[in-house]
Amino acid sequence: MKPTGSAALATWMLKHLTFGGNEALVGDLLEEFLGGRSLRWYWRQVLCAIGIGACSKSRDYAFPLLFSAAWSMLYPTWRLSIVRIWSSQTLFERWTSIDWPYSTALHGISQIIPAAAFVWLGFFIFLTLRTGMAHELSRLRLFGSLSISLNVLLVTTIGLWMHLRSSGMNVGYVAQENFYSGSHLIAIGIPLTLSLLSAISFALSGTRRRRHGTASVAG
Amino acid sequence: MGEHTYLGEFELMILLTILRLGDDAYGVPLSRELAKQRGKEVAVGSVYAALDRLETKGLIASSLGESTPERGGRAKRYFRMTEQGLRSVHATRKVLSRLWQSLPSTDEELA
Repeated sequence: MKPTGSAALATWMLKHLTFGGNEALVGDLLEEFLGGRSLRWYWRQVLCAIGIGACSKSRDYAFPLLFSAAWSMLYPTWRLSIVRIWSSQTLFERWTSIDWPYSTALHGISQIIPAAAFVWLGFFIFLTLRTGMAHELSRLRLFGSLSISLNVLLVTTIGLWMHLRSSGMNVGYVAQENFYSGSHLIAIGIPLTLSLLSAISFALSGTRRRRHGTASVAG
Repeated sequence: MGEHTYLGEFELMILLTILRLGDDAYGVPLSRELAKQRGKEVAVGSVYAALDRLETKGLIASSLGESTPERGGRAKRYFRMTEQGLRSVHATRKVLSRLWQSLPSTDEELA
C-alpha cells in the first residue's frame, strides 16, 4: 500500500531530505499514517524529522568544514615552498618550453598536482586527528575519498578559472608570490575547501555505515 | 564512577522504555509508549536522533526485523539495551537518587 497525493510528497521528502535516508523511520511513520493518523500529523512528523536531521548533520560536519577552510588558508605557504624548490622550478621551465598544446596541459597539471597533494595531506591529517576513524576506513572507501576530492578539485578549479578570466584576472600568475593576497586567497580557498570537505564527508559516511552494519549483525 | 556515561532526561526515558517493551522495541511502540508516559506527543524523528546517539555511545544495539506491507515494505529496526547501557542507567539512577534526597516536600504532599 502506497500513500498518495501530498502524503506521497511528504514520504519523498522524508526519504531524500533526512541525510542518509533512515528507512526504519520512514517505515514507522508510514505504519502510523496508514494505521489511521491524520495527514496533518504525518506532515508535522516529516518536517520535524527533516529539521532534526539537518541540525544533527550540521553538527556532524561543523568540524570538518572548519578544518577544511582553515587548512586551505595554508595553501599559499605550501605552494610557494614548492615553487621555491630548485628542482621543481627547472621542471616547470622545461614543461613551458614544450610546444602547444602539451605545454598548456603540463602547465595545468603542474598547478593541480601541488593542490591535490595539499588536499590529500590535509585529509590524512584529519584522519589522524579523529582517533579510530583511520582504522574504520576500508581501502575502497579511502580510494573513493581521494578520487572524489580530486574530481571536485578539478571541477571547481575549472569553474574558478573561468570566473577569474571573465573578471579580468590572469590565473597564469598563480606561481607569483603576490598572487595569494586578498581576494585571490579566498577564491583559491574555495576549491581546496570543497575538495577536502568532499573527501572527509565521503570517509565519514563510510565509517557511520560500517558502525550501523556492525550493530545490525550484533543484534 | 568516572567510567560511566550519565544520561540526559530524554535518553534515560528512551532506555527505560526499551527495557519496558522488551523484544517489541522498535520506533512505533517506542514513540507511543513515550507519548503515553509523558502525556504529550513525541516527534518520531527526535526519538530516532536520540536512539542514534545512544547507539553511537554503545548503550543500545539495533537489528533489522521483518518488513510489512503497511510499512511500505520497509523493515522494522529493533533496539535492545547493551550491558554498558544497563550500567549507565544504574549509575544515573544512583546519582539522581542521592540528589533527590535533598528535595523539599511541597505543601500538597505535606497536606
